[in-house]
Amino acid sequence: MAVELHTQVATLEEIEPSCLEPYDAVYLGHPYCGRYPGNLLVDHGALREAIQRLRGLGKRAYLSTPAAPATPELPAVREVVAAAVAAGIDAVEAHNLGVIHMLAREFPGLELHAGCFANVYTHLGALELKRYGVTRITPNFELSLDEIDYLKEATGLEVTLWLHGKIPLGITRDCFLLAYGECPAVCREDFWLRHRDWVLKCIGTVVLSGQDLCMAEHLGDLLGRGYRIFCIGTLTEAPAYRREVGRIYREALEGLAAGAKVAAGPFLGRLAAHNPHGFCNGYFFGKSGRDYVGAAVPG
Amino acid sequence: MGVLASVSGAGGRPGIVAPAGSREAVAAALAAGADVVYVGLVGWSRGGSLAGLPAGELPSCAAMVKEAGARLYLALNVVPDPRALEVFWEKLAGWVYLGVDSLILNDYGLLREVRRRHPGLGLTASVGCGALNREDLLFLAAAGADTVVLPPGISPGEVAAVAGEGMAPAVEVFARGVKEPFLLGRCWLAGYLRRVGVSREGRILYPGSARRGGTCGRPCRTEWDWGGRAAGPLPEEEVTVHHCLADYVSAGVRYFKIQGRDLPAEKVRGLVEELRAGLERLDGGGATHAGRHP
Repeated sequence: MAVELHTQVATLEEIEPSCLEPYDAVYLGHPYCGRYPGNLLVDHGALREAIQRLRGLGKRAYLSTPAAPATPELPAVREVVAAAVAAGIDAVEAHNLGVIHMLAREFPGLELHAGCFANVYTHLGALELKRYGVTRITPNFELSLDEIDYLKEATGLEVTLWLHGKIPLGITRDCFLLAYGECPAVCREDFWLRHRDWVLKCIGTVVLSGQDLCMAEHLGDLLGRGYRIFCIGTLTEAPAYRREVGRIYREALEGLAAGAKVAAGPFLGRLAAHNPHGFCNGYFFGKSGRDYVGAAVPG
Repeated sequence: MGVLASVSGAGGRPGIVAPAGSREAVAAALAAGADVVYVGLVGWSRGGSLAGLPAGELPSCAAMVKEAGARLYLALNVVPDPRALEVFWEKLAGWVYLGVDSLILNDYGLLREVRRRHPGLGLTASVGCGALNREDLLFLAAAGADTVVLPPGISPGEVAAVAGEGMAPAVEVFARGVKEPFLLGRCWLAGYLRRVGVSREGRILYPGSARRGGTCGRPCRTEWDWGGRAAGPLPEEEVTVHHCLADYVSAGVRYFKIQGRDLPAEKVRGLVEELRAGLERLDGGGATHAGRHP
């Protein structure tokens, strides 16, 4: 199975060839806020255009969907998926069990991916999703690599592993940032929460890790364990982040594919330029999520 | 779905689901008129020894509940290690034998397998299963749930939309609880920030959230600096449905749940009595809604 490196794009203006050059596929739309300016999940015309542009770039196009919809919001989810299907979307990602239930019923045969908020903790949960046509899962971030190995083997499903990016740590339906500014401008700013050495990034309805999850020096191990689907989390990141982080990982993946011995140090140095708060990867190794496990000194 | 008809409250009113973290709390809940008492077990339920019974106390609690004509629910809301599920199935068979009527589970993957192994057992999809909408309810019903708990703070209008028409699991809401900063079951902040090791009993605790057997510690309540503009915890809110019970009942609520297996017995008694009084006023046509919803 070929490696897939994918990322996330919320708006049409982010479909920038140079930024997406390192990636094989893109998840379209901002799943955490319907009021995010230019959100492809709201603007169907822009969504169609985005899918066409990705097609033109030779990349697979996936649609993300709202992560926590209330019942009255479900018809809009159905409509955006219908628009995406008509435009030739390759698969649809859902974080919400109800959305998976609805899409399986109304779009039979549609390839479904379960996102990180679908809370896949066990192989039994993954098998439940498989009944609905889910072919790919993002395991809950709390799982260790050993647990994910088991989950992958027990289900036969494709597993997405995040290689880099700020981990979504919690979701609410009430935007935290409305107390600090006007919507939508306020969530365009970098908004950090700090307490001693704890740092989080708030993007409104979701809080992200302050540190970037970084698996650069474990890439060989991940490939050795049989993982081939990798995500660089770039939702709400600057274009330069999407472009440069993607390039670094693409370079590392190509080096490993060519049988080269890839030294992590230089990669980490380049990655460190894109986040002042350093790296983490502890969940994958059964530790605190904000811990960094690795031989190289991060950042 | 076969247990639905037998678990509503007296006189057809919605059932009262009361917490108990001790034998005394079980007795208090029953004395106050709870229809269901839910307990946890140390090592298998959130909250550790403050909120969970030692397994040895389960038989006597089950006997007390049966004697009172109520039902016993067991909250197994720590997700068991999938690689060691045989231990879970073995333990579960014993708990069912002791008289547990229903399980409260927060991993949707477990629902179908528990239903297959114990077809007569009631199954409640915990608030940790994350149900927010009508389709969530149908997903969880298909997996085997006959009751689904909705998050604290949900309005009667939202409940009505979720409960819908026709066959569906029973809907349970919190009579009084805390609407936490994040959707319940959708937060792994604790496992990101805190380090968790081995319990005093020697059990290896997963690093991670309480649903993994770790401890939460509520890092969301930390005095955070908000980008230099303010300081304070992530916002949360205490919510109650007491002022509009009738609206929730009309919306389709079948059970009202009281949060807090760590509450002292007397507190449990007071909360159950308060809720029961409100529901009895409904039976008598008294005013229980003020048009102000959470």
